Amino acid sequence: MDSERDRECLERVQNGDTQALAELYDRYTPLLYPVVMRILRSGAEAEDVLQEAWLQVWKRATTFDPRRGSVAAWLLTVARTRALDRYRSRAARGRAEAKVDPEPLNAAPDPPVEAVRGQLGERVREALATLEPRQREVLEIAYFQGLSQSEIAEKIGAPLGTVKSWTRQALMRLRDLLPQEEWV
Amino acid sequence: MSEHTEEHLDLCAALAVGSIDARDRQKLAEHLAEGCLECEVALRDFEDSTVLLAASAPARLPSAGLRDRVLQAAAATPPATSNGREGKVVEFPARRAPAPAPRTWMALAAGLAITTLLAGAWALHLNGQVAKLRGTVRSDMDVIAGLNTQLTDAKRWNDVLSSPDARTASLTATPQAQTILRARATYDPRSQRAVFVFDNLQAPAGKVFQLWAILGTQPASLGVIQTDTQGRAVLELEHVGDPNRLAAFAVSLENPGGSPNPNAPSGPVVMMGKVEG
Repeated sequence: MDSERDRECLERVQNGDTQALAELYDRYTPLLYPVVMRILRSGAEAEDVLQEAWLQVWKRATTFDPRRGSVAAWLLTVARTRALDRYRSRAARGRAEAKVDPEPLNAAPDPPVEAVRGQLGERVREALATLEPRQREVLEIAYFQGLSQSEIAEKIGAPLGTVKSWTRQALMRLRDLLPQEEWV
Repeated sequence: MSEHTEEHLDLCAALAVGSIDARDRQKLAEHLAEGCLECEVALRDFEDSTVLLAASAPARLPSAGLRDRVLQAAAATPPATSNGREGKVVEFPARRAPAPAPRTWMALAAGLAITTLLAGAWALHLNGQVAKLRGTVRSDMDVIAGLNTQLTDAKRWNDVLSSPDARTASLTATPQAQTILRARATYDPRSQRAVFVFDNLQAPAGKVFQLWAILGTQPASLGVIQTDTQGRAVLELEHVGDPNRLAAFAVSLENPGGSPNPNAPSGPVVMMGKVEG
């Protein structure tokens, strides 16, 4: 039912309803911001990028294709792509690792936020920990560093075909460990 | 259509996590454009799985001011349009320096209440998605299973027609036939399956046509022929007969229900064709 509500929200966004945008913002910012933050590791840049991402949603809501996945997955794609673009731009200027507010990749979550997010994050991290270490590495590099599979193969010294099959196996394993009815 | 392979599923996963190489992206796009339902379902499944990856990032919330800045910028920007044109891009309001974090109990309580509401909305949203997506995937998988069954069946009979050992028979009208009758049979001796195509097979009122295999000199009934209103029929038959004994096919004109003797026509034989090859 809520995916229908999401689509209704997007339709209202297309018609210029800022209240609908606010509704989507409230619902999904707790999911989007941690991803952007993990990629950029800078609170200031993460907020700038997330602002750009929501403006892109506002201007490009018509590009959402429900056949490709849920509204949540689409919003994640928009925000993650923006964050990776910013990260690459920063890296090209030679300061990818400099002058950022440091946040280690294994930083502890904000307890109150984590608590009300239903422990989903903790359960996902536990599920990820049960994957084969190389499969987990491939998945995390792909999603949070944005490297292509050829680049990942070169980075970790594995055959390209193996990287491809590991990616699929890891995603499927993750789904098996956390079926959708347990996502809440 | 390019054949669906396991590699296509690998590419769907790569696309979902955003790591697909350019050449693979083109390859997958061409395959999807051909309408591979299995890949469409897999891609949607993988795309939705990225929600789990996102949830693995340590929980954080941006400053409260971000919401206001987003909504102010949206209000000053023309929204999306159905024809794909973007609205005029405006400058974002300058990002304000983050205010000192509130430390009073009231502020903390208010903040916790807001995050609880956000989390509640998020939980409700995911619950709804579960039911919706499971139903969609289950429905799509049923369609795929049905199509696969049809495809397997079609391949089985196509194997008969394309078998290098296939034998054929052209059935022509006998002097006892009162109209022009035509039929062709293709028989695969290895599987003993045969495909028959009949044309202009219109029986007189109160009569039916019955098909026979002639094994040596012994007829064996292959059943009554059901045609459409134009007298056309395509029959796909199993266990047509031993290839060492099968000599010909024949068609007789019978009373409704066919000959009472499965090894001998009771009416006139109106078509006959020798099995060649």
